[in-house]
Amino acid sequence: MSGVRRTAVITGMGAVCSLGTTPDAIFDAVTAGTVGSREVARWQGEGLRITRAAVVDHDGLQKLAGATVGSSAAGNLDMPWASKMGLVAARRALADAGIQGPLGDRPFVACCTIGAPGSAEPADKAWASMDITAPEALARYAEGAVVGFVAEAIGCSGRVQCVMSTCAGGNYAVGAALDLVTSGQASQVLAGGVEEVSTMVFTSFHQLRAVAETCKPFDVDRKGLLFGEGAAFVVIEDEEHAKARGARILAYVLGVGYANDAHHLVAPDQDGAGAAMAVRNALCEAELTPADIDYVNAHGTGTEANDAAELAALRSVFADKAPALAVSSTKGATGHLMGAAGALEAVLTTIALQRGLLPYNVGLDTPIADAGVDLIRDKPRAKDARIAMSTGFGFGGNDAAIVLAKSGKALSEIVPRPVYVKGVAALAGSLLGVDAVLERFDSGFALQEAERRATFAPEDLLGKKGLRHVDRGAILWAAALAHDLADTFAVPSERAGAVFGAAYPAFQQVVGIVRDFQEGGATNVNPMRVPFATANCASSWWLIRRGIKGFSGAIGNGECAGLDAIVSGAQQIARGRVDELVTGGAEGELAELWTGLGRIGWHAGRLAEGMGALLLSASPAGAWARLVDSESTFNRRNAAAAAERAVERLLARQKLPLVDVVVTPRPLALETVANTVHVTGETLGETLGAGSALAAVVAVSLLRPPKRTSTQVLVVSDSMDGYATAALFEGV
Amino acid sequence: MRAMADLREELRAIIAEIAEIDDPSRITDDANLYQELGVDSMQALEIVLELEKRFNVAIPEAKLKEIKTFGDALRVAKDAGATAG
Repeated sequence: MSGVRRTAVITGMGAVCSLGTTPDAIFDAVTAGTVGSREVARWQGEGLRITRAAVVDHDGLQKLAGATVGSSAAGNLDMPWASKMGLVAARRALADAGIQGPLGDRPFVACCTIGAPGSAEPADKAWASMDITAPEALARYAEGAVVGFVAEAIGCSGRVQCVMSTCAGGNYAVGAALDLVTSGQASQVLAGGVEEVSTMVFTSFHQLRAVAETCKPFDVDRKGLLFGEGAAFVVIEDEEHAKARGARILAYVLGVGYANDAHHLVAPDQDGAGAAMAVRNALCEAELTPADIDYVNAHGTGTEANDAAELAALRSVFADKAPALAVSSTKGATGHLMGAAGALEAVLTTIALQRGLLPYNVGLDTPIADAGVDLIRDKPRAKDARIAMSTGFGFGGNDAAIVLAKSGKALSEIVPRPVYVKGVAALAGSLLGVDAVLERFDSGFALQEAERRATFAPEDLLGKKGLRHVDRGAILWAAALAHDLADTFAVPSERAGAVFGAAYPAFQQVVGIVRDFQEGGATNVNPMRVPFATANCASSWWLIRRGIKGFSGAIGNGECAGLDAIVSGAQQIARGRVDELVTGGAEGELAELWTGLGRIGWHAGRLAEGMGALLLSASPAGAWARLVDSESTFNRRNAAAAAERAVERLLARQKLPLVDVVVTPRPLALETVANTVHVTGETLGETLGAGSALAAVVAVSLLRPPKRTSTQVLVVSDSMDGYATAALFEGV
Repeated sequence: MRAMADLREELRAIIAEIAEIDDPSRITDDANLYQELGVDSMQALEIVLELEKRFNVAIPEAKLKEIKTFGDALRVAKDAGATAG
């Protein structure tokens, strides 16, 4: 007897971009055809062909951000530029929803996919000569840190998830919030994205010849994307909860659909197959047919490749309904906000539904011949649209579409499926393979200086070809999987995927871009670094090599990233979107990072390369463990305390006075909740984002017959950035 | 003629390295870079950038679309003033 799904609604919105600092102001500017681009002063004299981007007015935003924090306890503005924009948008979304005070234990899901290398903050070009190993720089670069600053400033103490699914990431964040609400795990979630126009990333895209003065979505003369920045957040809430407190309902979130191109790291599949699959999956989850969609807010970046592929995808899904399908991209006006794009477009789409006014394609003069859809041109269109879709297609081939509606609809219940563990892969320093890693863990003999780096020859495991420019973390991820889980999946490629976590994703090439810049200026940046400078590159590259099309995710929760990737992947299996996933993390050596962390005394002398992954499955066949439950908390000033709180909450919910075994990468005061505590990092080295995944590998191995030594194991991790997660596994 | 032959060999070597082609003799004048030799868009850009750097020339963006075969690439490089050195 199936019941009815909980309904997710949007009850508050906030947004900041070049066109304004409120959703309504931005929507008005978009529909008036205003283009938000301006000359960027700090790029003058760098020899760049293009020096315009849709950037946010610095002084105005600074004042708003200052007023936002006021004199409150968290009230200082020493944070990256992206975080400041995020703070203003997040605060406004909460106020719009009528939520006062700190966010507290409500989950916070935010996409940031660039981080802050070459930040506009400070705006005096300090980035051109910055010391990459300086502690203050290291504490701000990474995606997880950018999101962490916002989380602290809005008073998060619950689950914080940093999503890094490139330009589709805003939709991933909305999707993650939707899952938390419809599964009953939360009644209110703040979800969205933040992204700043980073000089380093702009320069690399510029050298890749992917940027243009103006964005001309779906135009025959489109020349590339217009870089943009900003932040957007929505409060996604359980409908009953919203109604009970008398909140305004702005829109209904009916579903999300994901897919993975498995084609190329930076070029979309030209037939749009992955994009089409994401759109179909979204329709399926929302229990709709193509005829039900009144408007598509397209990804429409204005690049040669994206726009053609996207139209192919829409024609393929909407078939005979395509010619009447109203489609527009708002990026011609707002620019491309990368990790925040999906969130901003969810906001604009919501307003379009509310006002019955569809934005037009600003910048479109001559449409691509045979576009096959109704591209809205020249002026906004008055139309009482009831149901809309917003699409996002990112680097790595990550595709996500969300469905928003003016009114609610009874949808079938999604009964969460159990999530089993049926395989493991691991690497710690020079120890390749789970057998070598576990043997070493059992011995208790700590990894020695000479063992901190992997020593295998990549071509032995991965073949000779396709290894140029590849990120070290991606090599470790793929090699350990080739070694331990060569046959990986027992399900069709559309039902499989990966979720990858790292504290410093793709850092090798990001630092390379900074070095290129410092050595020879903007035009010296090697654009070949771009594919492997994207945060999701490790899992995306592996999925492309394996032709896996179901799901690709990336999580940047600092040292918790590997474990949070496992928890996040498990959600996809529980919701029935895929049947098997490889989840975990990998982190390769990076001289600058190791030096920098050494300078702040963080893990000095113990850093090692590492990789840990679990093969999760919806099927118990061949499985020996199950993920029972997880809990995440946040405390940027005291992550250890956050970890202890996560454990307390998880054990209370499971009604467990204590557990037999706790496995943790770093020492935590957990002796009172467990008979035995294993600290994996003491033996296997400090492997940053991979460490919490390696702890999970050790934990589930304690449950594995014939050597099973426990029936229940708790994995716990904290992170320098304030993230903390606990996950409970039991033997089956 | 000598310079042209050297330029051909040098460009062939660049393409073989970037596109990871084991047997450079496959790179004939009329070989289609994309369909026959499997060069992808990123590799094509990398080839152009390497060419610009190695021969200290600038290849106009409009010219890039003209390149389909190895012979096209050679001609564009020569037109831009590249000489083997």
